[in-house]
Amino acid sequence: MADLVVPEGDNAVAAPGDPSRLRGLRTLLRNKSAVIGIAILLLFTFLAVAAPLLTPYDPAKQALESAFQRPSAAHPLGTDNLGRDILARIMYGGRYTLMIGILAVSLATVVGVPLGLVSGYFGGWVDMVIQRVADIMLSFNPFLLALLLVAVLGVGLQSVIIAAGIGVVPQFIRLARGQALAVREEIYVQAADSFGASRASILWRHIARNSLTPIVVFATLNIGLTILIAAGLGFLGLGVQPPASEWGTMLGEGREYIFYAAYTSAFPGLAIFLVVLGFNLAGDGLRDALDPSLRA
Amino acid sequence: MTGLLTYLVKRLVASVVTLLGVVFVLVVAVQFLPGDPARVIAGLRATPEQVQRIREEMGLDDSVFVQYWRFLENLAHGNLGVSARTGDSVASEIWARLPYTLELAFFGTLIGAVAGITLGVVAAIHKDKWTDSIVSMIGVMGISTPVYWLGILLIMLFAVTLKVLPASGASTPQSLVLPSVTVGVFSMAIVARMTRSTMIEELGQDYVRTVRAKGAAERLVIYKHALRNAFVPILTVIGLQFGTLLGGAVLTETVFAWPGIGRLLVDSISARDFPMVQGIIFVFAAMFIVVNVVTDLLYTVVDPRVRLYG
Repeated sequence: MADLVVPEGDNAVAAPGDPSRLRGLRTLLRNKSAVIGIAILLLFTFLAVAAPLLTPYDPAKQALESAFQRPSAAHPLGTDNLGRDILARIMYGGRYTLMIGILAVSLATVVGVPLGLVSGYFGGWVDMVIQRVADIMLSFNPFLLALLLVAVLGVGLQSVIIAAGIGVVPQFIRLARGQALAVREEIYVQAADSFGASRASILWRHIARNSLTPIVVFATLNIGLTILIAAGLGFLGLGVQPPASEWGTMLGEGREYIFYAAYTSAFPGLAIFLVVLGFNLAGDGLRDALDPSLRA
Repeated sequence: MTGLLTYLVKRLVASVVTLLGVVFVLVVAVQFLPGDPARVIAGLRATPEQVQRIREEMGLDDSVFVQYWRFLENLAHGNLGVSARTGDSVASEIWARLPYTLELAFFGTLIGAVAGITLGVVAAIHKDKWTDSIVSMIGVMGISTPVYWLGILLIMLFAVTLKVLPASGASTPQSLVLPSVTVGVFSMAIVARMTRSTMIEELGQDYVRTVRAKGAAERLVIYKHALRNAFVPILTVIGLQFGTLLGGAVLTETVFAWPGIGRLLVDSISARDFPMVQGIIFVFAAMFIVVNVVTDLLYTVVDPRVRLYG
């Protein structure tokens, strides 16, 4: 599966400068839409990190006398119901969005991948139990699972990260299990087995390492989804709470004014769309460059 | 036919097991609720005795397994408990509002399937041409668009600016248009991607070359032969997509003030009405499971080569 890039066994983690890695990078940079995606992500990362240098406005400071100003030179994206600068809020809000997306997917990877690898490699009743659990989680679907978790954990940044991350765990279990099943049959794994390597060592040294590329690609493709889930929770008022300028929360607050101040909800939504698009384009590009077999 | 019967029974048993697991998760979730559910139901001014009485009525002091069994027993009688907010039956409240959600899910799936298959076929026929690139772009944009934002943009355009469609409610048939489109776009994108790749694969098969060599019209080759064979994976995606569609429906119903169970779910979470939350999430999970069993069965109709019970 991943043989194109990652040759075998212990060479799985290629050294920097490895020609096959460079080839992957070149393929990625030749891919126009992947480059657009990466550019979008770099732009929003820059805006989020450098926000204090780029805007004079405080994203949380209210100025009721300047509420609902249409986009102008002073406020390029206008101001919201409390007179806060929408551009400043979007720039600072990017910190939440990027952090949530990356942490949620990291959580899903850390929880889902070991379960999937164990499930695929050991088989038998372990496999059956883990797969039934994954089935149950899948029948909730990611967003409803996240809603249920928020209903239990309460609202807030931490809950949102956990809810969005756990929401996509079953997909990670499925992927890692498939990888383990495929790699398990490879000759080098059979060889290691016949040399008397322990199962734990085979699982870690061979199966986990050789599954790395598809998992990284899959994780990137799922960051967008977790951002959509987290922002959806914010939109419903069940995510990161005001006055935080998380984009979904901003969109939910702005929704009340769509009839006369459409920009208060249109721009935060545009930001969510662009960042998710960025991750999806970059993820598609990464997949084509590193592991075309994952193309669905 | 006994083979099909065995398969059906197996599939049903697996679905029931999954559903039992879903119920277990919902019952266990109550144990982790912050605060005392009985306190929430009794209200702030209740005396400790009143709270205790509610605890006993709800059986909150029993073990998880006792509560699980009781939930299943009630479920068998079509009883999903009592709303903590209104004191009404959860089942009858869901029953009253379910048709709206089903309507939205049905038209969302229909729009997603028809538009997605059309786009996918067009892209596959014009592989690597500009139409293909446009469809790819629509596909990736479709899966990147927050449904709630799309809904708001559609309201801005069609309800506020053009004033041709209502912005909210479910009083007229026209009210259904914007919510259905909103719900369907994500599925459309996924279905288009899937259709494109399977159609490209099918169009490269030997049988297509044979049919073309026989001089069949290109339209016939594409629709009667290739698309028909590509239908099984497409159908699978539509079925699996149904879960995401229901998640999208929760958000869409909120945007359009659509009176389905999705909006009821959001209101119930905010009001900490956990019996209602349990009931609605159970119904959503059950719908997803049923749709996927039906999808499996449809395979045999669409593609007689598929013998599920082989």
